[in-house]
Amino acid sequence: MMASLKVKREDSAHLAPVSGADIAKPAMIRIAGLEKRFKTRSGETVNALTSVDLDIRENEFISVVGPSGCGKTTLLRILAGLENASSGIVQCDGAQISGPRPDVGMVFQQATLLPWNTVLTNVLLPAHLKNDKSGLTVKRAEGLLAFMGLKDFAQKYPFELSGGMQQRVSICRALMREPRILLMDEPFGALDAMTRESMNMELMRVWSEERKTVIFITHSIPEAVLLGDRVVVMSPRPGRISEVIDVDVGRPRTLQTMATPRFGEICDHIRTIFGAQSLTATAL
Amino acid sequence: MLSAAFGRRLLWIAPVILFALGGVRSANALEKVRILIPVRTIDEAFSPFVVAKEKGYFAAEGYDATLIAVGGSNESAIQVSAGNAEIGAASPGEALVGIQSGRLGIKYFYGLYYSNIWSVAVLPDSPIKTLAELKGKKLGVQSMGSAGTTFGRAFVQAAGLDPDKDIAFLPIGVGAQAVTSIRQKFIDGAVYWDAALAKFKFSGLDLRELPVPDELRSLPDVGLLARTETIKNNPKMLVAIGRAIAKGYDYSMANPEAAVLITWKAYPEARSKNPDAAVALKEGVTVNQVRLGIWNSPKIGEKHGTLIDADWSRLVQFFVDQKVLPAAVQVDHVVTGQFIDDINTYDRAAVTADAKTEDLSKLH
Amino acid sequence: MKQPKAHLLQSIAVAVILIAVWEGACRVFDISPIVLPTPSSVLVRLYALFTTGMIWPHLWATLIEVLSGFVLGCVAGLVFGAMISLIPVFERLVYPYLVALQTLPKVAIAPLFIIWFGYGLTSKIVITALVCFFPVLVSVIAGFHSTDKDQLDMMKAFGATKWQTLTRLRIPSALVLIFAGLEIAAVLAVIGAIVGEFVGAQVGLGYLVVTLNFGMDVPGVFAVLIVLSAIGLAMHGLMRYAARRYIFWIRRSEAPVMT
Repeated sequence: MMASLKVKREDSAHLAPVSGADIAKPAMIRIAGLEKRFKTRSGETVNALTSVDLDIRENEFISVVGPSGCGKTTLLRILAGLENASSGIVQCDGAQISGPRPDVGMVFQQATLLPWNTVLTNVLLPAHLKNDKSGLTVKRAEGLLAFMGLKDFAQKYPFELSGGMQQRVSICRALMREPRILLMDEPFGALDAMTRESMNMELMRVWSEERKTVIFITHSIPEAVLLGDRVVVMSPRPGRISEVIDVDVGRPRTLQTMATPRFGEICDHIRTIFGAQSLTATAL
Repeated sequence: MLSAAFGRRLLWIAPVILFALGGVRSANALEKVRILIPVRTIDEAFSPFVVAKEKGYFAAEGYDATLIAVGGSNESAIQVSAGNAEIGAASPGEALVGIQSGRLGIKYFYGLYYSNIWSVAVLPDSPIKTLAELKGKKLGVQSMGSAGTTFGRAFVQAAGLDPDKDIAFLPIGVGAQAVTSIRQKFIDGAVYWDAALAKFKFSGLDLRELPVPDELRSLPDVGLLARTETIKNNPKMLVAIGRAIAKGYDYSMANPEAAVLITWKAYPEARSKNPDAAVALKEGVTVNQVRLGIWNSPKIGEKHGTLIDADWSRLVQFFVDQKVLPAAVQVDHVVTGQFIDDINTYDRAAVTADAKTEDLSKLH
Repeated sequence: MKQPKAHLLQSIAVAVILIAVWEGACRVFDISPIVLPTPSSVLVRLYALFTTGMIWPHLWATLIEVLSGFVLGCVAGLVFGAMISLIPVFERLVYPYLVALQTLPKVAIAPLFIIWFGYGLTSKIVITALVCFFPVLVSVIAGFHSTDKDQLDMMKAFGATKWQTLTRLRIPSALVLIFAGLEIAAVLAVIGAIVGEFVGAQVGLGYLVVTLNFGMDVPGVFAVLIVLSAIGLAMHGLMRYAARRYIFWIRRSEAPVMT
């Protein structure tokens, strides 16, 4: 069943569409014909990504959802500059991405905080790596922690924090250098459902106050639809984009939004895409 | 950074400790001499050496002597030949093999033991009365490589047995484990040296020695050896050391109690463990005099350390018969008596008198 | 703090009971003091060893051997371990020989060391260092291998240089396993020194054991063994304390176990 792509104005009063100015600009990130192959130990070639085409606009929130092996993490790693494409174009502002960039912040599924440093030192890590020890920078770090509700935890150590709090620190760290692009690889995957929901709301709050381009990978279809302007649905073997869906649900979104019919339709549609995948898989 | 600080701390300790090792007491203007003693622990059986050091006889000759216990006669001979020490006291086993093959460039210059310290001993209630009755039996030795094994084999061979076929040798170590092995009759007899047997006796294990043919008993044993280069280039040193040790022997014979106490003061771990001090001293004197009894022989008269060519020839032949030496070697390659006269040139009476007037109470 | 106190009292109680049983058994079965001395005779000898001052030169010598050998062996293990972990060429060339060296039983090669390094403390220090070297080497290599892949990615994503990744991530991360190796080495150090002394020494607690055994002073031997245990425990405790201080972020129950 094809989803209707018409915008349904439900909460028109709170609608905050992507600004017209943004739509008019050329895409900030251009991915065209992206392929990623690698050889396994037995010498076989695995196609992690094939023919990936995607344009991402500035300040857009892109959710990426798909089953294991669909290449979503590989895609993110290439965007982060941690890996190189086998062929194809991956550009940011017209320049090919070939390595880690200062205007990119990354958040991983595990908080990856350094356990021997305090929370504040952890947040300051990106600055320390560039030998930036200025007071201004420290103030920014403290500000970020306050912004995420962790003001009193600056001198604590990661092992004294819960999983959710650690992940919040990790987000602060990613935001340290005021990145234009935020890459998030299932950042809330290791958290329990309730923490996850509050982290989703937290993330949307942060994004609404400090707009940036976000690419957010998740296993959870509702989470993808709740957070994203668009949802990129990927499928495996070989890794590719099956469909890109506009989430025509108004902002700000809340947990109540998840109970609305439109929300449900979009989620069902995505599920069908997956259903079709598994049908084809079993048919083979 | 954490690790750097810790690492730095570690690196700081090391040189401090190594320096503490390296910077040791250095004697003032005395020439250093290292003397190797073929035992694990220096005890009262070696009082002449210890007395010579503690009473300043070495220093009086102008030498700062260090006594080093090296565990065995073979070690002693090898280390002296290798230049790791100037003088060694050693039983002639490995030394003769080395001299004969040319591998060790050493020679004996002073005799210490004029008879063999080894005995084959059995439990007091054992039915075995002679060496020949050991046929088919087990003999305990300190270790397979010890000189005792060589002599044990020689003794039974002299009694007409085949040491390879008729006797089984079992290494039982020394000290408590040896005593236990003997008591529990793992073995029928044991081959040990005089001091070890004495120590067994003090522990309540009084073993009975089997008679040994006199020509074996009177073979020369431990002597002092040095490299042939030293004999050629530094005879003064060898004479001086020999003289100091001779004086140490005189002192010990004149006042055994004092000699034993002096030794125990320098090596407290060698002290007899008998809680009664008087009995302990008696035990020490017994060990001391049993050993020093063989430091002399009617054959040598007043000249301490004389090396009797005929006896050393017999020793060489004995080793050839025992197949320890592949072939005989000339006696003048093994021993040299060139220093004996000079060594014995000193006022013996003064040493003896000094010993007899020693105040024992100062030595505890 | 009732829990730890209760545990301590329990341990002491067990020790007291064992000693009482030991003493009783010796008397009742009239066991020869050469085979198994009574605890009372051992304690008497222990007291005497200290009050007569006999133990000090030997205790001092063994302590120097243990500490110097430990420091030397650990530093060598740290240096070689770091080089092997970080320089692939080095690993290929050197590691197989180090393994071969380790498989030589120290008891067998100790006599060689005595011949090469003499009867003084040096030979014992070398043996001890050799004994400590391998556990530390292995733990350093394991430590560097255990760096979390995600954290490596994270450092790379934030633009860290190789050197920054080494000092800020790989080294602190390796400390957990390194300290495990140091703990093992601390205990082995005592064994190494004593093995060396057994083979050839003029002074030291191992030498004292040999000598007292020759003089049939078995209570004395036991007393020296008690002192040796104390040294081993102290070394181990020192390492545990250092670990607690320097790798504070690992809770005890989560500490990895090295076999």
